[in-house]
Amino acid sequence: MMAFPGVIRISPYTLLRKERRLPVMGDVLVQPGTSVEASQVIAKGFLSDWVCLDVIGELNVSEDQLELFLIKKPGEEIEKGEELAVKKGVLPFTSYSYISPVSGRIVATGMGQVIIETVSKEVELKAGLKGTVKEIIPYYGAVVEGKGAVVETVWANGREGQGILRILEEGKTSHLRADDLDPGNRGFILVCGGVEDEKALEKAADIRVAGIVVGSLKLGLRKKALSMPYPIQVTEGFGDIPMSSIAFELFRGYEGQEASLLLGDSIARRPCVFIPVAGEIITAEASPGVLKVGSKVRGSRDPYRGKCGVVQELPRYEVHLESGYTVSVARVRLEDGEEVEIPLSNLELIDET
Amino acid sequence: MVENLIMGSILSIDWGSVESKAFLLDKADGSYRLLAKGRAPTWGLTSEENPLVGFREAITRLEQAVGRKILGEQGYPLLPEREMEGVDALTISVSLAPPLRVMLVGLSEELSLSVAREALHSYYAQEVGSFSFLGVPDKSRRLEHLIKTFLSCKPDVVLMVGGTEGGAMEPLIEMANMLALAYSLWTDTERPPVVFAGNSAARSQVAEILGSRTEVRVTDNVLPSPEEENWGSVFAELENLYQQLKMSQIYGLGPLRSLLSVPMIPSASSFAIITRYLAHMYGLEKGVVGVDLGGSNTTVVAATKEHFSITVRDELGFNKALYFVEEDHLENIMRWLPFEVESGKVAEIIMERHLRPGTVPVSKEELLIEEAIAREILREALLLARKQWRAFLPSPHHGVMPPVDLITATGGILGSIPQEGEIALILLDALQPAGVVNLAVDKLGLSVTLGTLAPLNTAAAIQVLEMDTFTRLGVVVAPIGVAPEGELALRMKVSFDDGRSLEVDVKAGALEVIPLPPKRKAVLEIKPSGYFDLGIGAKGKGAKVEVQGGSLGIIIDARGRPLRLPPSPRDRMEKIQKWLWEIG
Repeated sequence: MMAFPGVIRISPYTLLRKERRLPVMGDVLVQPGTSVEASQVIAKGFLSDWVCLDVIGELNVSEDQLELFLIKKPGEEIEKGEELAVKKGVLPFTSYSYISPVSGRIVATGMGQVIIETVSKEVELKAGLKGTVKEIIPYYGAVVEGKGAVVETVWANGREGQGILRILEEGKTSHLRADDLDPGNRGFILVCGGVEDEKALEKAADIRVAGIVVGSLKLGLRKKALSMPYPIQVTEGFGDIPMSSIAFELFRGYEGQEASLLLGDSIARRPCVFIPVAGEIITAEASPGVLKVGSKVRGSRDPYRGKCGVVQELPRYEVHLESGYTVSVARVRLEDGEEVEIPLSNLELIDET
Repeated sequence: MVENLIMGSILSIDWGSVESKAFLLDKADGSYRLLAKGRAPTWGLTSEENPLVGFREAITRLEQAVGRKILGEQGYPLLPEREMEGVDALTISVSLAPPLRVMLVGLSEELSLSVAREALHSYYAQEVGSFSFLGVPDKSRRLEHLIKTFLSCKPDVVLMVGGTEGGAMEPLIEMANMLALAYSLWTDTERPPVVFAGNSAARSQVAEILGSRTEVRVTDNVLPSPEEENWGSVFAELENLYQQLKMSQIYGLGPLRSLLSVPMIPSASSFAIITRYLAHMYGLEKGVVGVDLGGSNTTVVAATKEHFSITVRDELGFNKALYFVEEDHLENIMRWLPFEVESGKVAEIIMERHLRPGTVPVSKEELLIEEAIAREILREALLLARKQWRAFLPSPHHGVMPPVDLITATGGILGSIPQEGEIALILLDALQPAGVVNLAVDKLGLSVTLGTLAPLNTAAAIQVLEMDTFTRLGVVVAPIGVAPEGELALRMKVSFDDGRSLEVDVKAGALEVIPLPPKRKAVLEIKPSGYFDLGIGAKGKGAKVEVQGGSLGIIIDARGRPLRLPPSPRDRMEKIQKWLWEIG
């Protein structure tokens, strides 16, 4: 059976390009070549809301008479409390007014209704990573390129953020407990093996950590993690597996430095942790990873999920698994010295470039 | 009819959301055959969001298998073939484009919108928002709700439904006016087209009201009467719109498009063409059902010589089975396992398949869990699909699969399971075929892409379909009905084509296999007991049929229809293990 290892980037020094895009049209505040900090706002926009006002119902007039009574017309701004329409009464000197209950811009009239667009929220787009603006996406954002360390992860809770990396004391196998957390962790991205329970996630929100990066997440915590206000990323998968040593050691090497937790985009699918590092990089065109003797790999399925090693041999023979599959394998020396055969499909080639 | 335009080598690609498959077809001894194949994950070979990497890798693997250069310097296939390099034609079926984002606009939640929701499953489409006219009584709030939903969900298409034939038109006209007002607020350049599938009497007025705002496409009413649903023409419009709006956005399509010998078509459409071919080609009066259990979606096609229906469950692919985790339906999966397992383990496998689609199970336990997931996905997909077939594939018994002639199955997971008996058992458990039904599996996934060949070289498509596509598993004899276990279910005489014969009594609850190798034939004289109907519409009525063999042979499934699992977990696990042993 033909098989391919996937490729996962865990690189101490590389180029990372991210497409940063507002959810609505807005103003882009940077130019190509601008140097940006991760928390710098590079575009702004406004989320709109719409309110329909039943003017004809209030003034007791017919639909086709609406325009006759309007003081403000489509395209004009109106303030809350301002007169929108007036109808003269039957008696002299009497009139009925329709007062706008909201501020906004009149965008349309029809079916007896006046539609006002209001601003519900201003949205700001941050650069997300320290780097340089490479390209502008008109009205929406920019492509930002940064140099530094990248650890691609397999799952994120849909949030992004920045903070200082802090490794939990017990390391890659430790589980974050509520008791471990105190206000001193505020603004830090905590790196650990896993999370003990929902209480730990809640406490982390209370003390406002900048993010959490774990090796694995118990499946029962997934829903809770999705509802947290800070970013969470998982390097290995769901269940109870320690963080792979190659990812953990990289984080440890940059402890105390600022990092960004970023989501996948149209340039790179996977979420990642990015740590900016100064220097020069020679880049190569992306091409499928080539597995060879000496390649660093990580197991992606039980029984070797999350275990790292080095390929010792790529046998020509195929191996019959207990499941009945006949597969090509790699002989891998794991970090504990054990040599095992792992199906190529169940391996991830670690891209350190 | 345009036919046989190309007589040389053909590169046929199925460009899937999980895997890209490349097939080289060429003439061998006068007819087209599959010469070589190559496959690669569409994504994941690099960190880049570029499906062309997987596309090219699949062709590279094909080149290695056949020892011939197909890709040119620019990374695109060389056309036409010159001195044993390149190919004469290129066809592509594709399922990697995202689904159409559809907003539903209808009169009532209970009738109009629920039918429209089901109609959406006829193609690659997902609901991103809905509006029910009768759901909000106040006029201002109603308009406000429509505007907010429309402008915030940013649909690719609006599907407007409502009213039965001969019903009142006024609410539909008012709804069209409201929608026109909402469209006037749309600021982006491309306005989503409206597909109107409501009361046909309102068509011209709806088109007139909305026509000045956007493109309006009109189809048959999805709900002609409260008792009748009609999704056929909505499917046709969704198919057109998917090709127009979504497939055109695929990365790298520009240079590929100019190389294509026929337009690229969605994989589900290609699979439907092949399933319909099978019904025609073999004159299958009772029809064919084809299932494609893919990584991102599951397609079910039912076809007779005159009719067909297609259902694409976009949220139900083998690597997107999160539904079972989210909705807490893991028990449904676990009931198909012959051993006890914690629900967390099943959920973990579902999540891991989602995160890393290309992995293979190492232990038998994990394989059986994956097979159980496959069963439940197929069952879910079939529930909805069967509603569509009612008009042309009626079942003589409520809740039982209509007795069709042939069931075909394909898709990554079904194609990769090593034991053919286990593939057959998944189909028996999930689809519950009834009567006398042939079973075939397409392990390579050719049936998903061969439909693209139809306008190019019909003969090639048929030749490859007949010779290289399907592995016949065998024929299933599955009487409909329920009887106490141990009672006689049927008596059968098997007269083999070598002159031997065999008589068997099969008891209710049993699953038995009588070997009949591929290309061998036998005549079955089947006499069901008074508890069972052979799909003829009468209990106890017998039949005499000639059948062909397969890798398994004749499978007698007397477990009853509908299939009921023992309520006690222990009994159930024992039964399931026994069935696995019986079928090999």
